[in-house]
This record gives sequence, C-alpha cells and structure tokens, in this order.
Amino acid sequence: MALGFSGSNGGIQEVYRQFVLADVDAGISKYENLLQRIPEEQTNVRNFYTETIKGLTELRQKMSKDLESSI
Amino acid sequence: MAVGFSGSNGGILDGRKISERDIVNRPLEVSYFVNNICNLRCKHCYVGYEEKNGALSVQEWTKLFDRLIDLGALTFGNVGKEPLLSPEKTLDLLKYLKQRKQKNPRLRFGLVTNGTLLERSLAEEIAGISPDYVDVSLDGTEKEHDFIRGQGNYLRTIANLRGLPKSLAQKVFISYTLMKHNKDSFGEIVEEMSNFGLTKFLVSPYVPTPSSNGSLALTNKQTVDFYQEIVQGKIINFSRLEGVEVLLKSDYDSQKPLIDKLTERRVIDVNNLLIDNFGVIFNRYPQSNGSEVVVNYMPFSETLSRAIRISHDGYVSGCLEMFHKDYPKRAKINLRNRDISEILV
Repeated sequence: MALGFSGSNGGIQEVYRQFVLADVDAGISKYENLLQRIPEEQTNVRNFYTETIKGLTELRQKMSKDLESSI
Repeated sequence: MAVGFSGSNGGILDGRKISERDIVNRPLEVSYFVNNICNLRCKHCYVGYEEKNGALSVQEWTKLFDRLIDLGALTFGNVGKEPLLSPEKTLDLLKYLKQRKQKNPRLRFGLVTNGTLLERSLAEEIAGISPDYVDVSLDGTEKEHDFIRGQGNYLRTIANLRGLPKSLAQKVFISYTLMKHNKDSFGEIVEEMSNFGLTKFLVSPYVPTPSSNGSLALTNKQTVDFYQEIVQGKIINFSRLEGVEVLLKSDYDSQKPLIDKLTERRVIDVNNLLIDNFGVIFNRYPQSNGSEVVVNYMPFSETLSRAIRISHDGYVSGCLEMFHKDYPKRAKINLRNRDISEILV
C-alpha cells in the first residue's frame, strides 16, 4: 500500500470550529507541564513532548507573524 | 459524516470553550493490518516488512479493540497489505466494530483496499455492515494506474467500483497517491469517478521509502503547486460537478518540509484553521456546486500519541518503521505480551 498514514479515516467530521492561537498556547502549556513530570529515563516520551512543543512553538510564531502582518 | 455534507456550515464557531483537551487528548486513530499479504506488487508500496505468518486471530483483535476503546480510540482503519485477501476475518472485525459503534456512536471504522477484489457479492456484505468509509486506491488513468499496480488492475478496480451498491459507493474515498506521472490526470479521474456517483477523493503525495521506487516522487515545489491549483479550482472543473470532496493530506513524520512549504505559500493558512470533533486540523476551501477542498494540517507528529499502527502479528509502531524488513526490531512492543498503554505518549 502507498503511504498516507491511516487513509481518509472517513474525512473531516461534521462538528468543527476555528483552531486558534489559544489552542496552541494551551497545547504548549500542557506539554510543558507534562514534560516536567516525565522521568529522565523515559527518553521516548520526553523526546515526543519536546518535539511537540517545538512544533507548536513554530506554529505559534507563524500565526503571530501572520496576525502582525495583517494589522 | 465526511467533508461537504455540512454544506455552508463551515467556519462557524460552535461556542465551545477552547480547551487543551482538543490538542492533547485527541482520540486515538488505529490502523490495523488484518494480514500482510497482497495480490499486487505496486512500485510505490512502502511495506518492507515481509513476514506473512503469525497473524492475530479474530478473538485477539477484538480483545485488543476493547482495550483500545477503553483508552479512548475512536477510529479504526482495517488495512493490510490487502485486507480483502482475508475476507472472513475482515468482515468479522468490521462486524465487531459495528456492534461496538451501536454502544458508542462516535466510533468510526472503515476499510482500505486496492479494490481489485471488491466484487459485488463481497461489496454487498460490506454494505450490510455499513462502515463509515471505504478507501479504494486509484492511481490515475488505466495506463498510469497499471504502470504502478500491474496490467489489468485498473479495469478490475473500475469494474468493481461501478458495481458497488449505492449505499457503499457513497462512503468510498478514491485514494490517489500523487506521483510525477499521474498528477496531470487527477482532474480527469475526478470527473470520471463522479459519473459513477463517487464523489470523495483523498490525495496523499507519494513518499519514497527504502523498498519503493524513489523516482516516482514529485518535488515539494511540484506538490505545493498542485495543491495550490486544486484549491484555486484550476485542476478540477467544479462547475461541471456537484458535491465533490477533495481531501489533500500530508504526513508530518515523512513530509515536514512539504508542510512548511505549504504554510509558506499559504496553501495551509494557519490563521484560518478549523478543527473537527475528532481533533483533525484543516483548512476548508469551498468550491462551486457544494464541492469543497480540505487541506489537512498537523503541527507535530501524531505517532503513538494519536495514531498507532498495528501489524498483522501484533507489533506496534509508527508507519515509518514498517518501511523496513526488520520491523519487529524497530517496533515498540508486541501486543501479544504487552499492553498498549505502555507506549502511548
């Protein structure tokens, strides 16, 4: 099979709302809190949280930049 | 319900308080390989793992499904190399998920197939179970499809698609792996399939792997151009069609540079993202006659947090590990002797 992770999964579901900066901030905050509680030896989990925070921080920068340029 | 059925409801805030729940505790998506065998030898197949024996039984799978549902899994994709080479097991597992869905209506389950074995009698059985979706692979025109999947397979799949019961046809996503040689045919395929009542399309850019043919891949720029032209309505003539849904996907683990380019070019518009009730983040681009294009977006990896893949013999890992022959060594655990909760992050 060709790569596409889980396929369509049935597409986008009916109920949705805007995904905004506050979601990203909440995500960063949550993962930072979680990271602090993960023991050093659990490297896989720590790496995952670290990468997630990095990804969300990048997204935050992109969103802020766009907001600034639109003002 | 999938893209497009909600008509003009797009972009409306539902008033729900923004919560970290949405991004941290999103429901698990499970892809389970019901087998590791296939009747085709596709040039773009990413599965490098070759073990065919040792498949989990129906009882082992259902026990595992129960555990995953307890842990919050809501999406179950029945995949394989080709799941319809194990029709009885596939039907049994779909039926089981259907039963579970009766208790938990948010559960969704589907099937991913190359379509060559989806003959009328089997399609009727599947329609009777009423899965939420069926992904059928189609990689271009007859010449393009057969170049990848082998001679005669386009006509086999098309014959089966044309014979689908209407109730199942409505749930089919035509799964199009985007490559150099087939990118110019996508518009034609959408029109042709729409004539059969097939109106949902999933586009995934081909990702080269150690076991597949790297020369098939588009550059990131070509893919971004293609996505942009789809969004702008330049590739599909939406005015001639009705209610077409096109889902453009990208995978964070293997395509981060592509995702960055899509955001740079504003094909992914980070300030107009939407989120559905399964935690999928996306941009929605309405087109004429009730059609729409959706661009899927993820700012970080979902592997083992939201998305897990289970091989036919019970190994769990992300998708990328399955590229390799020594997949069991790369996998995190085997669910025959360990609990899934040990590796979820």
